[in-house]
Amino acid sequence: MIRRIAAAALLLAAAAGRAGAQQGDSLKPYAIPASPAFTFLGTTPGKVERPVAARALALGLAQDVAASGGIPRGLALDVAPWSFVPGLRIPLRRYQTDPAAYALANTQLSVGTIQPQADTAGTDLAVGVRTTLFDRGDPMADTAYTSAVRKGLVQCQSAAGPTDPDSVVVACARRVTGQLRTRWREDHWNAASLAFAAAAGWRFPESQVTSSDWLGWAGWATAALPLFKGGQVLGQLRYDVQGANRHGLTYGGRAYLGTPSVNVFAEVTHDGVDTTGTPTSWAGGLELRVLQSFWLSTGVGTVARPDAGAKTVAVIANLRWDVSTLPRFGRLVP
Amino acid sequence: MDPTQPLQANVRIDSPQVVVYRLWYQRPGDAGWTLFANGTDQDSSGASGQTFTVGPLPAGSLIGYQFILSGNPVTALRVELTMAQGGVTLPEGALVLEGTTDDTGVAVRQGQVAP
Repeated sequence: MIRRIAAAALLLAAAAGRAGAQQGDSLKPYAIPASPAFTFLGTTPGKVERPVAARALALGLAQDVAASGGIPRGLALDVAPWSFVPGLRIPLRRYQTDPAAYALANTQLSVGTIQPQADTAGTDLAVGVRTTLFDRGDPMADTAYTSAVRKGLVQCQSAAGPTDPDSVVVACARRVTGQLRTRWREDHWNAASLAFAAAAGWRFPESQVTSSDWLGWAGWATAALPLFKGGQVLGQLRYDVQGANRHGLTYGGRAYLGTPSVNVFAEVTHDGVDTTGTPTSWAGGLELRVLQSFWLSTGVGTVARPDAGAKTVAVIANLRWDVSTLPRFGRLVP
Repeated sequence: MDPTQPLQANVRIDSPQVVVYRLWYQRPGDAGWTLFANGTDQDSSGASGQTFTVGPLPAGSLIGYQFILSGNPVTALRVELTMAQGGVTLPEGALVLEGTTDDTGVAVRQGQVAP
């Protein structure tokens, strides 16, 4: 029976073609980026430096500046500002009881530089900040979860001195916490959360700090709320002010309700920088889990066709691999 | 280190992770390690941390430590292990363990020091 359903789903998906492929990821462009500076620059660095001490950060920057003779290209930094403040401590108890400390601990500062395509001598630099004000889906904020982890980690401790290889201890800790975290997430997948991010950029025509041009800025916000016990409402927005070509508000919202194996969904997206004249799209329908982590999605919605200038209403169908117990569009905290 | 005085080992957790830890000592000639401290972030997250007393220990003794941390992925961590005698921190007696958890939220810091 399951094979027949899967075969039917494959046929449906093939028939739907591009229209179906667009539906599942429709909100991703508006999601809060993990590192706003890199998203602003439109780059995904292969390696991101994450210093936690001011000395290491200053030393690394000084070396990069000295090596490049100006603003270094390819810089990719992601830091937690609280860890650079002398004397500031955010132990777990404070993280769980002090909302300001929670937000501070979940604030990330990102800095990135790239060579712009239009100016081979220049450098684009962006600075971004991202913070989560609250997230009921953060297991570290739950004392019951952290107590269970504490008890579980005891079994990973060495008995006869610090002689066990790191890899053995790490593997044990991952196994213990992985099981607890997975179970906890299954129970809190649709929890409420609120997060913001922003980034701004400058172009340095000769890669020197003496002159620069303003590139603009972008801001993101994401909020999620549980919809009864089996659903979630998710809203995401992005505002761009980047030169003459990209300026406007873009947003998306999605709601769905159901069980771990079937749900109904509705979503709307609005692309504020769309130039085709039809910036708003919507979709609604049914999602059915036909196999573990394998979903059939079908419904009605607007799609952009390659041969048409405007979006049209169409029946859509889609197959996608998914983790059924996680929010469709990923969590706010990675 | 003064071999006639006991040694105080202070542990302070400064970052938002669950932490379990153990401290051992090994005297010259000992075949193995002897456990003298067993704690968690619940005991050691106050501003003054938690202090364990051991010894006196003969010259050449080693202190072994193991900290197992679990938090959110790629988050900053900081643990301080300070060794003192008579309330005075020993030269090279302050060990700051820093870094980030890995992409599963786990970090392990272990090793040994000669106080």
